[in-house]
Amino acid sequence: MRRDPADASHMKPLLHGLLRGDPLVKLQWWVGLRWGLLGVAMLMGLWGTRLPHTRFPTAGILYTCLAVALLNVCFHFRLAVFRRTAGPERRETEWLTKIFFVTDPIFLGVLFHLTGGAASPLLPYTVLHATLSGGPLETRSALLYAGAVVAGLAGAVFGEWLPNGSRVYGIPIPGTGLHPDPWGVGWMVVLFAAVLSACLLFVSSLFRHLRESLLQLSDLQRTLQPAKNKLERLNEVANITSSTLGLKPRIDFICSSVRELMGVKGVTVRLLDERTGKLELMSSCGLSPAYLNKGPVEANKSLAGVLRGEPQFVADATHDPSTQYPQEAAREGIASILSFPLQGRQKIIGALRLYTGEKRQFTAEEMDFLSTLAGQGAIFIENARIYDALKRQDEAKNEFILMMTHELKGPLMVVQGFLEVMQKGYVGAVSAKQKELMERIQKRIESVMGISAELLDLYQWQTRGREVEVAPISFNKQVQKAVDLYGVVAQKKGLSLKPELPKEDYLVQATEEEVEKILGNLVTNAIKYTPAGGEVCVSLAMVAGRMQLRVKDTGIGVASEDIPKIFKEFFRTQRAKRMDPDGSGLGLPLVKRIVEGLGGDITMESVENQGSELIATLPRSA
Amino acid sequence: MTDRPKILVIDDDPDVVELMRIALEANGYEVCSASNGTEGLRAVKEIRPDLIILDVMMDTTTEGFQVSYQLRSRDPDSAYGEFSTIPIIMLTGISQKMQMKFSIQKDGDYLPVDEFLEKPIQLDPLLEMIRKLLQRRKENAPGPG
Repeated sequence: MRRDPADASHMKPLLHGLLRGDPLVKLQWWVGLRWGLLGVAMLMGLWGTRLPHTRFPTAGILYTCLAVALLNVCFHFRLAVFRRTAGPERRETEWLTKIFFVTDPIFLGVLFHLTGGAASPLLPYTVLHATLSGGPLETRSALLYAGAVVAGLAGAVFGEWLPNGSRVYGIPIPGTGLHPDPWGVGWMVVLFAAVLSACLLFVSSLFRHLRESLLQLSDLQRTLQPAKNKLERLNEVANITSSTLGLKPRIDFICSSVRELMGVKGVTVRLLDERTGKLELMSSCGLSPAYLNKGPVEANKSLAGVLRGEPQFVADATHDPSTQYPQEAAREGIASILSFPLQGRQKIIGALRLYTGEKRQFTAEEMDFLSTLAGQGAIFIENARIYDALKRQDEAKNEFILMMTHELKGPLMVVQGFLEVMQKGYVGAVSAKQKELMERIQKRIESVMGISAELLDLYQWQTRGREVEVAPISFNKQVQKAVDLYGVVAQKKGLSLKPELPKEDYLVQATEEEVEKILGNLVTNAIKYTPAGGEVCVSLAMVAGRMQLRVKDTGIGVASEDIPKIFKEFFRTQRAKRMDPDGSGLGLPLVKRIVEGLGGDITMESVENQGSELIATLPRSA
Repeated sequence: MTDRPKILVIDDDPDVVELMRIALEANGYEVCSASNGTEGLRAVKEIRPDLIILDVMMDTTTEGFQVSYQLRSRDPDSAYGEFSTIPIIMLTGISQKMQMKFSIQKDGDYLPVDEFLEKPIQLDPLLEMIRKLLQRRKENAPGPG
């Protein structure tokens, strides 16, 4: 649990209760102190029989203790009942307190009397007991209590002069003559009274002081709490801006935050439709559907101020002429409406509106807070709109490319078919030259078809997303498969293609098709651009918990200025074009997209004329 | 009446139809054509072809499938019951195959078509496929008398 610095509740509950003046805690405190006093008195009663010159009346002390203990047990049970129920009634605790403070001096007086009057060894402990008991009292009550205790002592002392009144005649202190000299006893009582009063005054003022500090602290906490809540909410609003939530949940969150923090009836966010000049509801909380769907909200009628970029306050929504729907507002129980403009970068994009159930004013501080919040909301509504527009554009572009390649393929396929029937001689004899030209046409068409197939591949990958089911795929096996498959091509070209695989199986969450495309493109590229006698090496390793696939060749390489462009669509270096005129420049972009879709990345390291190395790093499947 | 097997090509692209006509006629088949599903179904009844080549996408993306489902319907009241054994080759494009929401697996229980042929059409595999399907049909057909 988080501890609140301004909350003193983490202090010891007893001390905190005493400082706060909790009557129940105070009673507990006094009952506890009395148990302590009883313990000391009983010890004295038992111990007193063993002293050489003093004979305390053990039975008398114990009977007195028993009577007080019974009273204390009653207190105890009463407190237990209080604790179980909601708490004591004020009058009852007052009564209990009175009983305590009346019986305490009587009990002390009797004990003084039984243990030696002014010479009672109980006196020092009494100072402690009375100080602790009187501490939580107000100064006046504390002094009254001290007076009562001193009176108890005086009574006991007075009792010593009564004929047969006292049982003990004090402990003789040799050479002082204090006992039974009345003056000596008198001084003792006065000194006791002075010490006890001073102690009580001191402790009581200490308690008062602490109590006041605590109250100030609570006051401070009360004042700071709303500010703290606001800051926390603003922080949450700021955090939610960068979250992956959609726009609607974020605006809903702002609405509910505003409603909660301002304690208003309802909150809405309406966006301005520039075409119609109406405010369309985007998000709301606390208002009934009937009110929300009351009809179109005309910006220039009810929110002229907001359109100028100023907050607009309608104190009485049911009678103000600017209110568009006064009857509906009355039915909904709306008293005032406060509207803030949602100020975008260039124009007002809508309004944040607060509806109160009773007529109220907003402080300057609240207005500032709301204005900040509205500003923040406006910014991310605008950002989300820009993002959506870009996304739509991107989707439209992909759609267009898909359609275009598809449209291109149809006619080309037919041309290819006609060429084939002509080549086969189905429509008459073909001369050798004609046949040769047809073959050339055929080849060029194949090249265009190849590019369009790769384009389709590339953009389909982007548009279809990753809804396909993935499974852990062993990269080791796939690399071996690719090496086996392309080994023949490499061999024909006079290259060596070798794998460097670890013993351990490296699994990656992907589809087999994805892995085949990655490996196929990288390996065929390496073979394509490596002259005879060269070497292509495919290796797997673990680097910082991720799997690293490296395809290294001793081929023509890429100039350093071209490396950054190598993953761009259709980019091909001059040398690559010379070596393979039919290449499309779409292989590496496709690989990059797939690798990134799998949560990895790919980079190229290359030195011209020495070779290239493509390094794909992928998250390893658990 | 000729002995040449009759092949019905249902495709909305006249060039594809022409291409098929040239290639198939050169290989000894008689070719008829239809440019949409409705016309195709009517032609099936009139011509009683030995084999049908059907483009999957004509006016709508699934028109070809609708034609094949009608022909292969198991409904005893189906108007095309007697034609349910005519072999069907369906022409598909790769991209079309990817966008399809329904399965085009030939899972044995219910065959809307006998074979799929991906575009671009290569003539040799097509001719081979036709030859095999007609052969099988001849073997399965009840003997004369």
